[in-house]
Amino acid sequence: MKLVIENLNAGYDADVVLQDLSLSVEAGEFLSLLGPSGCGKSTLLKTIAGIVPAAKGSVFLDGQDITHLPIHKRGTTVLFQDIRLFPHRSVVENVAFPLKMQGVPKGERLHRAEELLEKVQLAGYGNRRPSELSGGQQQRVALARALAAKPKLLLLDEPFSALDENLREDMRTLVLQLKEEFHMTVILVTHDREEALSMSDRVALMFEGSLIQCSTPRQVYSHPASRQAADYFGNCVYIPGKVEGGRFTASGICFETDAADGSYDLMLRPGCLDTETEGEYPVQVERVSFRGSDLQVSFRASDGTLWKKTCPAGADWRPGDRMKAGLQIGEPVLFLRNY
Amino acid sequence: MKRQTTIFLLLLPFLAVTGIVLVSIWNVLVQSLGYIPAFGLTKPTLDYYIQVFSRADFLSAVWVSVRIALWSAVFSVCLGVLLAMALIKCRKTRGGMLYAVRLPILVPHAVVAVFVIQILSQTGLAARFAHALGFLEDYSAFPQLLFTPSYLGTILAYLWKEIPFVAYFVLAFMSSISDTLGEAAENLGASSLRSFWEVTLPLSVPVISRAGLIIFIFAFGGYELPLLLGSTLPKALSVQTYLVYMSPDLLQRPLAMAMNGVVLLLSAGMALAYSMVIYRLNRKVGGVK
Repeated sequence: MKLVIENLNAGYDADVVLQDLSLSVEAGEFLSLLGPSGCGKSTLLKTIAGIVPAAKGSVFLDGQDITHLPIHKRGTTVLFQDIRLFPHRSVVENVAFPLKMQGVPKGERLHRAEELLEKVQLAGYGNRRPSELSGGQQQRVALARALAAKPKLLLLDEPFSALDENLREDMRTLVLQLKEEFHMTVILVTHDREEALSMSDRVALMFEGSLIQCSTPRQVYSHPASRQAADYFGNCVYIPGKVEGGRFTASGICFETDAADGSYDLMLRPGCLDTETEGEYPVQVERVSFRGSDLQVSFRASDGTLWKKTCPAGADWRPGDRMKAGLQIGEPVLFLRNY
Repeated sequence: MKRQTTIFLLLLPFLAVTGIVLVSIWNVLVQSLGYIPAFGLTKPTLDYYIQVFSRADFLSAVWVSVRIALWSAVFSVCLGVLLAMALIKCRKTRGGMLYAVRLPILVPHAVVAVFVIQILSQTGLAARFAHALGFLEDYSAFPQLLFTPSYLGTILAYLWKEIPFVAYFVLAFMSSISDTLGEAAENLGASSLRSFWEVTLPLSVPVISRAGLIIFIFAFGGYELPLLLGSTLPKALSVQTYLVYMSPDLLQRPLAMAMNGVVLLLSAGMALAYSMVIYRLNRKVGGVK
């Protein structure tokens, strides 16, 4: 189901969190709302779900204006970070709850709930109480319960953040599998960059209640719309230079560009530093950190720029090693320097 | 050593109050068994308990007190929970509205009795308004609500105080359930009312029943309101007991203490039943205390 948000304003009492936010999510798409804590991504999710009322603007789901519909009539379901299973009901009753609300007869709803429990690999756990399950199992029950509601739009509010790394990975895989199986449109709220980049068809980057960029994970990572967006993913390197007559020049770097004349910073990711082949960019190894499956090596360039690059665990780097590395600039990203 | 002294000093008020209560209970039990050497009664006996249960005025007093306690508790709980629900739905769980709800809780029972007489007696405000608006030809046509054997006035006075008490007692808990699990239920397709009925209310039952039991036991043993708003006969248990206790015939004292002993046993029985119910409810709702 296609979601369209137009000029949305929302918040809590006098505190306006979302400001004139517009966004469109295609049917069957997986979109991640990414941003720092307090940027308004959870508020946006709750406004879509009707939990937080919209002060201005509209929300359309599959062409229907749902801006002022009550929560239970919207066709959206939120999977909450704090799980929120009903402690007075068994696992199967929890999963059957949305079906009960839809008026499905008891026998049928329990049967369908058991089927959904199988889908989330919890067959046989139906008669237990939620308190008898682990955190990961509880989150899977919550997922099965959300699926039982047959939502037009599944909204995931940082549902994996309380789980440990292995469980988190399992849950991500499970959600993606079920998304395909149930042909759902999904919006995930997260502040985990890797999670957003690895799971989504598109990533919407938010800061201070506004959408900064909404694009494919590769595009958002490699071609950030602003310095703020670039910095959010961290680990980027800025090389100062100038554009004159359609040519950017910096220490050891020169390429054609469409940018207007002026002072710019060339943004590069660590992957641009090619230490495998010899080039024109002198660097010295400053620090080597062993991280189990790989190494993080800090290279200091002659112009003072510090590069932190992930290298294979077997790479033989030692502090003090010098080399002339290559720079794979690809499509350059330039930010006008206004300081 | 200093730490132990501090703990002892902090516990001292509690220990003092507990000591006074225990000594009083001991006195009641000993005197109810007919042991009051000052009055020349030195032979313990159960005669006074037998006498208590053979007195028609005592049994009708027990029945009156149970009826007052039961209706007060049931209606206070039902209406208090509805008030709490309304406050939650209107998002008035803090600030001025909550102070307004708390106000009747702070008013002493004797003052409540005066309010009730002022408003609900046959010459009270309600009768006058009804007369002024033409609903009644004469004040005396206003129904007799006070000083009747039904103890309606007493129950209404308890409701005036205890409905806000229940609302205030359960509000924070119900609000937290409604904000999390109630919201989750609505998110899964339950209407606001259904979410309250299916999730918020069942999970709040332990807290609600706690409020109900406090009111029941309080109204069961309450003295001022049945005395001020009740009928001459039958009397409420507390009133009946007090009259016997204050009898000029001091040899009636063991009988009054036996009546107090019965009240004590009934209250202890209710507290025990309450603990068992709460334990079972807590288990049923998955450990929500």
